[in-house]
Amino acid sequence: MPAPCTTCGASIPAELQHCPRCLLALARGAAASARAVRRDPREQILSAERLAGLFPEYADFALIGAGGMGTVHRARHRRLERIVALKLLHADLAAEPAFAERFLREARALARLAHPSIVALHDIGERDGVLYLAMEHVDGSNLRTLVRAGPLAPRRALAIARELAAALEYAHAAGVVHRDVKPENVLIGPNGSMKLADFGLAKLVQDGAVALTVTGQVLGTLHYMAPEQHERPHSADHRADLYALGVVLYEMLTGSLPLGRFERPSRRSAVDADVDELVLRALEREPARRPQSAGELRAELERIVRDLDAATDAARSAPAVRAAPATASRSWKGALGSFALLSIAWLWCARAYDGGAWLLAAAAAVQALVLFAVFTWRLRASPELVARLARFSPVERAGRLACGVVAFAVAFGLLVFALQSRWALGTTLWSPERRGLEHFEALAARSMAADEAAGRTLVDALASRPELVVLAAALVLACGLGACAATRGAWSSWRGFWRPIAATMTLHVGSFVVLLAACWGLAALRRAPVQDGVLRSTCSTDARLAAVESAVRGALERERYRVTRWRPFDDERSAADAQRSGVLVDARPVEWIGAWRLGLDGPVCVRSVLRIVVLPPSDAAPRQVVVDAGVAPEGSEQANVLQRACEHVARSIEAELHVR
Amino acid sequence: MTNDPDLQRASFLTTRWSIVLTAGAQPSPDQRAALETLCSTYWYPLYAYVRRKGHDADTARDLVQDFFSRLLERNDFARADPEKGRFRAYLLTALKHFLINERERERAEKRGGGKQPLPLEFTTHDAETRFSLEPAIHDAPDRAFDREWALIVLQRALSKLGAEQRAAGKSAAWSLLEPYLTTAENLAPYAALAPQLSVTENAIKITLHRLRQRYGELLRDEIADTLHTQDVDAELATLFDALA
Repeated sequence: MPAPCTTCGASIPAELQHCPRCLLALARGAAASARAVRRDPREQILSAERLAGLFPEYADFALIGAGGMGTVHRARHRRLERIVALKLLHADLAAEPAFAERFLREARALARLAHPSIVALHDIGERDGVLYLAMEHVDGSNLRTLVRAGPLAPRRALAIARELAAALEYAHAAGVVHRDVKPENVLIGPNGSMKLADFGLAKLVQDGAVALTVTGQVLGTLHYMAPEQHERPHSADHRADLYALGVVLYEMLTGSLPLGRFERPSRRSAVDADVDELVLRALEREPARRPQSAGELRAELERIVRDLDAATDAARSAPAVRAAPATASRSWKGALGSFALLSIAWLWCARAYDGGAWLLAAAAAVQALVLFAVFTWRLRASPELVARLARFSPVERAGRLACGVVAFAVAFGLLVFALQSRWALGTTLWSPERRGLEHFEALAARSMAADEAAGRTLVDALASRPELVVLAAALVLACGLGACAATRGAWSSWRGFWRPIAATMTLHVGSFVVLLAACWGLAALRRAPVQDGVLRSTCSTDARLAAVESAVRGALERERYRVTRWRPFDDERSAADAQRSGVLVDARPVEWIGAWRLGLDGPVCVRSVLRIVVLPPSDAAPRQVVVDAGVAPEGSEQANVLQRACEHVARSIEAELHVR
Repeated sequence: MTNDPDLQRASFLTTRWSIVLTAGAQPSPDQRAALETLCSTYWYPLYAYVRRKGHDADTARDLVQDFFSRLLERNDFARADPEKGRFRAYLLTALKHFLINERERERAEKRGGGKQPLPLEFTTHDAETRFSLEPAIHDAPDRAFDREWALIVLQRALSKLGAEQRAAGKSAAWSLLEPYLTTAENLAPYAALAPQLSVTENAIKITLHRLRQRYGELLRDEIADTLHTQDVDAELATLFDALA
């Protein structure tokens, strides 16, 4: 038993390989008879005598065209002395009684259309089985011949499109949809005026049971048909005309049809990005995303033409003043770059200044606001970008987002890694015994952690890490260049080219200045050395050492240790000394293991530590506490200060404990 | 309607069946040719009908041959008969009469009638192969007849479309796109076809749209050839029901 059809469930015979019911349904949908399609249109041309017999009120018949729909004759009305275009529909049409009736009914609606840009319908009817229309005769060419000669000047193309939109607006308001807007149907008078012909005939033909079109013409017209016109012909409405208008405008501007992944009009014609946006919107696949009315399109075209005229006038009166590009920078890549850079800076700032979670949260919030503002500003400034984003499929959009996130994460991770390798170095020296002195140890540990985090101001850090400054500058430059690359072609002059760079640079430099100011402000606010049990790294070295000293004193007092003797710490004798004396306090510079070298000949950092060995009253093993006073390059002024401070603390503790 | 010869030719009904029906009392060569074409196209539904009536393969073949000979011999189409509007209905009615009469006669005596049988592509073996492949559920002979008829119409339109495409030098595209004529389900997506034909996906959709449209036209043509009236839609509906 063969498999049933997935569409209708009928069984599929082996010799046919198609569902028979679905095949039959194709004939139901196709309202056409192949005989009509195959017939040569020339067969339908009536002789002059027959025409004269059919239309006694006309004279001077001359054939001016024969197509799939019928023939068109130029004729003169005897009494009115008016030249008309007499369109005779194929005899197949007249043979369908239902069509003839409907044709006459709908033609009444067409006859009511009176608009300067619509070919007027003078008369309509049936003579001896021949359906005819007597229309205004336009002595000129049609848009097809113009376009065939190459792209039109933007001003001309936009003006024609504007007239077309106005004509459609009028007709749509009267309830008539054209359905076959194409260059062949746009007639151009000798004075350059345009008139839209063949209103509503396409609908009659589509709905009728007879084919009017020969195959070649269907081919040509398909490109102007909105997707819904060949997918769901009965749901197509006036917005299908707007799609066709978009195709015609594109063709006028570029000389070619918008097929496949077509280029934006501004790439191939001297038009602004707002024309791109207009065309792209009109060519939207979904009718709901197109302009919703011809009036909207007409208003937009009018504005563009007005702007174009104003710019031309301005250029004529003052050639030096060029119309500035609509926006300084249009790139969302630039915005993302700003976001990445500012985020890194903010995170670093929060980490370096021991700000805790609240600062991080605030930084994220500010950053999100900045991003939002920048992004919306750029989006607003660039309707082309809006249109481009809207045209991406959800999958493509998600893919791009994922790429952006991954790139951001990689860049951010690299920077964090660089900073972390520096932070990680200081943590190896601290190995306190955990029994007793808990308070002191905790205090020291926290202060050390804060110290390790940055130790100095951000300016110090940047000064000691020139490669970071270079990296940041490179990032800024890359963002600027990326912005330019992304919007390549959106401007034509060097002035336009440099503007986005300047804007991006200003954004980044400005945000850095704000950031540095915030850092200094925070540092100034935090002069108190100890806050919530944490030794602040933002205060001066003296203040920090004083804090350490008082903490050590307090801790020892609370523990009620008896200190018998102070002496410089000595590894060989420390155990014996510790046995004899209660506490050993030692202050000395310790060379940094695995020192962070900035260059082969760069300075080696040293850590100044205060080392205290405490002997318990019992015979238990001595305990050792190391207090870290800070890191500085060897031989630097800062290292000397730290060293002196440690010695000072040691001496003062010794003195005090002796007194006690 | 008019005295213009062009127009007359255009609106004149020129289906094969109408040629058969409207010829004069004396059979013209045109009439015989048209009838022969029709008969050689639609012999299989008759065969299926006779087989369903319970005759064996050889008898069925002889009966159909006899029937066609008689049909061409008799030439009584000019007689008014509402059933004659459709060749399908006419043929079935005539066959039924023929079978009833035949039962009452000595077949051997009348068989052939000394006339040359139609040059049908009629081998019992092929017809039997095909017949044995048919699903047995459609066992009512009338229904089988209509169903076979519909399948032949569809098949002919399909081969005509294929021939047209090949004549237009599009055989590669046709062989790729033919399976998509009715449905794209369970088939490779258009995007996968596009590179093979080096066209865009959209162009494939448009081509398919045109192929479907053209198929519909050819099918209507094919059906119209068996009708004297212009009521293609009614015939379509009947065939559609027969295929349920």
